[in-house]
Amino acid sequence: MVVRRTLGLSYGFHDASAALVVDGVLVAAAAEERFSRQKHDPNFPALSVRWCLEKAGVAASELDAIVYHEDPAATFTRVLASSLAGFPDTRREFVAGLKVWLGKKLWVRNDISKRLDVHPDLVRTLRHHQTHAAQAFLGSPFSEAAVLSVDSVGEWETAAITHATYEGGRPALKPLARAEFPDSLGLVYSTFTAFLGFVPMDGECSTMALAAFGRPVFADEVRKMVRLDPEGLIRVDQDYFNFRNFYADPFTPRFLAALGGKPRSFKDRLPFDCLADGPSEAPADMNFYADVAASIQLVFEELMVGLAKRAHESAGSANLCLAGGGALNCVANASLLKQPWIERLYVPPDPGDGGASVGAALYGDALQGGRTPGKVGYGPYTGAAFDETRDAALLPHAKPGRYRRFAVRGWQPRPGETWTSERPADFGAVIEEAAAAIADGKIVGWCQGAAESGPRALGNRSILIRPDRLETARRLSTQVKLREPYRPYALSIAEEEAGKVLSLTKAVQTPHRWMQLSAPVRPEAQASVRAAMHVDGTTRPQVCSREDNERYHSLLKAVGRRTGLSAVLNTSFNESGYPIVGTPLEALAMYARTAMDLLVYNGLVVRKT
Amino acid sequence: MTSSAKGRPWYAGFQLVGGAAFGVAKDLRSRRMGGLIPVMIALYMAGIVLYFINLVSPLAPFVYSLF
Ligand SMILES: [Fe+2]
Repeated sequence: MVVRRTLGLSYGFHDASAALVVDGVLVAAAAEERFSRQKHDPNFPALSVRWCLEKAGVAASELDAIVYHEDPAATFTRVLASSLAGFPDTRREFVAGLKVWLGKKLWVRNDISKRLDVHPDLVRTLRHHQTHAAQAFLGSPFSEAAVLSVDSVGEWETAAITHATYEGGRPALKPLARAEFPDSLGLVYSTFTAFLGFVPMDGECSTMALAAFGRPVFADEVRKMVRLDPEGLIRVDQDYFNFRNFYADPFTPRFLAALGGKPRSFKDRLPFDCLADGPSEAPADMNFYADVAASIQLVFEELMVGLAKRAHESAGSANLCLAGGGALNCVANASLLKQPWIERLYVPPDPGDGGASVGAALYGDALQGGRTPGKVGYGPYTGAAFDETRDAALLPHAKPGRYRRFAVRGWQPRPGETWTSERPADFGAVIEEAAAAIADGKIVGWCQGAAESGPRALGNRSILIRPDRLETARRLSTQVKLREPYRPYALSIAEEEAGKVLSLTKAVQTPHRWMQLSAPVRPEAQASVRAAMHVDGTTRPQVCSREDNERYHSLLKAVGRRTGLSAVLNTSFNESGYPIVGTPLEALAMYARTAMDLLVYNGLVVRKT
Repeated sequence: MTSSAKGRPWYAGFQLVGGAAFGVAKDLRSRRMGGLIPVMIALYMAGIVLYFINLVSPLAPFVYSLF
């Protein structure tokens, strides 16, 4: 029997990652940031590659193909053409672009071949949006689907519609329509993100969160800037934007005049709070930013629905797969699933460029040998797992008092604090202990098995509290996560009880299970999940079944036996600005620095006494 | 990581670097920007010159500090 081993790589822009597919099965996928501890690490994912190969027991010399997520030559022509088109205003961009492209990025196949010591013929490249389409379709449970990918920019493409099917067991991705740079919906959203004082390509979720506090009073202005186009999918009026010199100066005078305000400095505090008891009173100048966020969010949703409709019609499919950074917008995803013409929606666990390595590996593998259509290809738990015994041996030497000066601002350990740790023989006892602490209003760090790939923590690298306790959530925000108060928390709920809390328009599908949709909370249930709810009465749920995650589901049920609702507020196990924790030592370091009360790592339970 | 039958032959760098340079020309032409090809060739030449200067230790700082 021939074994095929395909490594997928995505790096060079942001969120570098590696994925390994063996005979059609995704065996490992992880972002480099989880190992290098540098958030959105864009560099060659050396550590993730090593981990992927070690996990599968494969040597680099045994790989049959290494597939890179984009075509560097085409990206370089775009960089060259766009920096020359704006000359001489873009001369700095031109010089900077030439240095990094001629110095490094253009030779990426050589770089890969050198680093892994593999034959050049084994190193292949795909088109970026082809990778996104593969990433969305090959993980989906569909045997045919319309695929919509929307991001900032690939080589030239900024959005694409693909009809995906299988022909003779091999995936066939037929491109139907595309938008090209500079007509980029993703970059429009990122420009607004920069205007609102967040970091573009990172703070888009903050823009979405802020939108719930505002009214879309500028929607008509935004509709003039970007609209659907029968030819090229998306048309952006370039008078408003400066995509050629995006990082230096993203706003044009016309853009600023249309909104009638100046960009928010990141130092200006946004006075919005999801956890406030009553409606929050904000000064007019801050309400302005919330209104701008609401306007771009509304127009983004309208355009995504328009693009999806076009995808549905041109592909003739009621199944929709979504990928690219645009698919991270869970409010827009919810408005897509509301459409009567979409029956089923699939978004891969990591739809952005972090998951592009998965798409590259799956597609590269399928091209060599075919793939069984019609089943979900992989779940979200494809990251690294660690054994906690070695790091746990350090615990008797821990001196919590000495970590005082490393503590997060706003919290100090109690004088004389000590840690006790135990390892119950039966995992049921671990679950009962964690559930009791959660029910008792404690903040519980919960790490189990393999890490999630993608930006969401789905019960394997999570921090959990009761969803009905605002004070605990405030403590979590100020003494553990250092989270901006306008960003809402998410909810994990056992599937059996999801109907009690959420009003869902369609049957539960993977986007409901992987926190990819926002969903309205039933009015009668709002008090019971108040801390995990946004100001507009929605939450971003993880509907968890026993099959999804057995240990986490058992924990939810154990919480339910104590509180009457099998649900917890679930937030990722990291401090703001840092990647999600991986090893037990990283989890312990955060436990030491913050007000977290209980830490569970696999079978190990640590508490502060 | 060890070399094998599928390992990297000595000419790999030439093959891949040449392939990438050729890929750019092909993409420019397909986008009706063939006029930029001479610009590209000039840039490659400059790159090659810098590459060789960079190999001479006393001169290398003049090159790598540019990047
Ligand atoms: Fe992308």
